[in-house]
Amino acid sequence: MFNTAISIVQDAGAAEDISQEVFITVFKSILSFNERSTMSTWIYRITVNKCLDHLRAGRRQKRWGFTGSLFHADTGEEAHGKQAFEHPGIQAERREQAKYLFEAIESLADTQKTVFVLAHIEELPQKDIAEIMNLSLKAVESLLQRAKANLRKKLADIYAER
Amino acid sequence: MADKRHTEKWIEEVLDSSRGMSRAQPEAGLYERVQGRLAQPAARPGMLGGRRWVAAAALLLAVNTASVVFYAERSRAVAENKAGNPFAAALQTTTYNY
Repeated sequence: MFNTAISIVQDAGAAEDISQEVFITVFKSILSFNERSTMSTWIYRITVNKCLDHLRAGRRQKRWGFTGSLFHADTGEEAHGKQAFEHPGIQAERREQAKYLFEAIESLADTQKTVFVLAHIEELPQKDIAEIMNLSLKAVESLLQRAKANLRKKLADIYAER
Repeated sequence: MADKRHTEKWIEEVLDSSRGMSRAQPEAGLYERVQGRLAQPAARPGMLGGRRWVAAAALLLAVNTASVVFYAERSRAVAENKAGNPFAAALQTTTYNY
C-alpha cells in the first residue's frame, strides 16, 4: 500500500501517513469485510480512497492559502512549488527520465492518475482496477487511454521546454 | 520531421522508465507507530478539544456581556425618558382610563 500511496501522492511523508491510516482502517473494519471482493482489492480500495482524499485536501488548502506568503522569507524560494518527485523504487539509470514521467503523471486528473498508477506502477489487471475503483471495465479502458494521451501531450511540452 | 522522431523516442523512453522498478518501502518503525496509535484510547464522541472549549467559552462570555450592556443601556434610556418627559406617566394613565 505504501508503494501505491507514494506513486499517487508523490510525497513520502504523506504516503506514510496514508499507510498508517489504511492499517488502522483495515484493523477497525476487518469484521465488516464482507468478502464480496478479495482482501487485496479491499485494501487497495481503501488506499486509493485515502490518497484521493489527501489530494483533495491539498487542493482545498492551496485554494484558501491566500493569506500566506508565496515565498520563503529566508531563501526567497517559492513556498508552494512542488519539487521534482523521485520514486525510490526506480532503477538508477532511469531516474532522470522517471522524474519527467512522474511530473507528467502529477498533471493528470485524479481518476486518470489513479488508473495509470494502478495499471503501470502496480501492474494490476484492468479487471482488478475496475473492481478497486468501482468502475466498469470499459470506463477503466477509456480512462487509461485518455491518461496515456494526456501524458504524451504533457511530455511533448516538457521536451519542448528542455 | 527528425525533431518529431526525437520527441517520440524520448517520450517512449520516459513512459518506459518505470519498467523494472522495485516496490517502495516505508521507513522502519511504521508498524510500531500503527500499533501505538491503535493502543491509544479512542476520543469520546461529542467531547470538545481544548481550543474548542476556549472558543465556546469566549463566545458565551461575549454574548453575555453584550446582553448585560444592552439591557443596562435600555434601562438607562427608559429611566431618562421618564425623567425628561413628565407627561409620559400621565399619557400612560390616560390610555388606561379608556
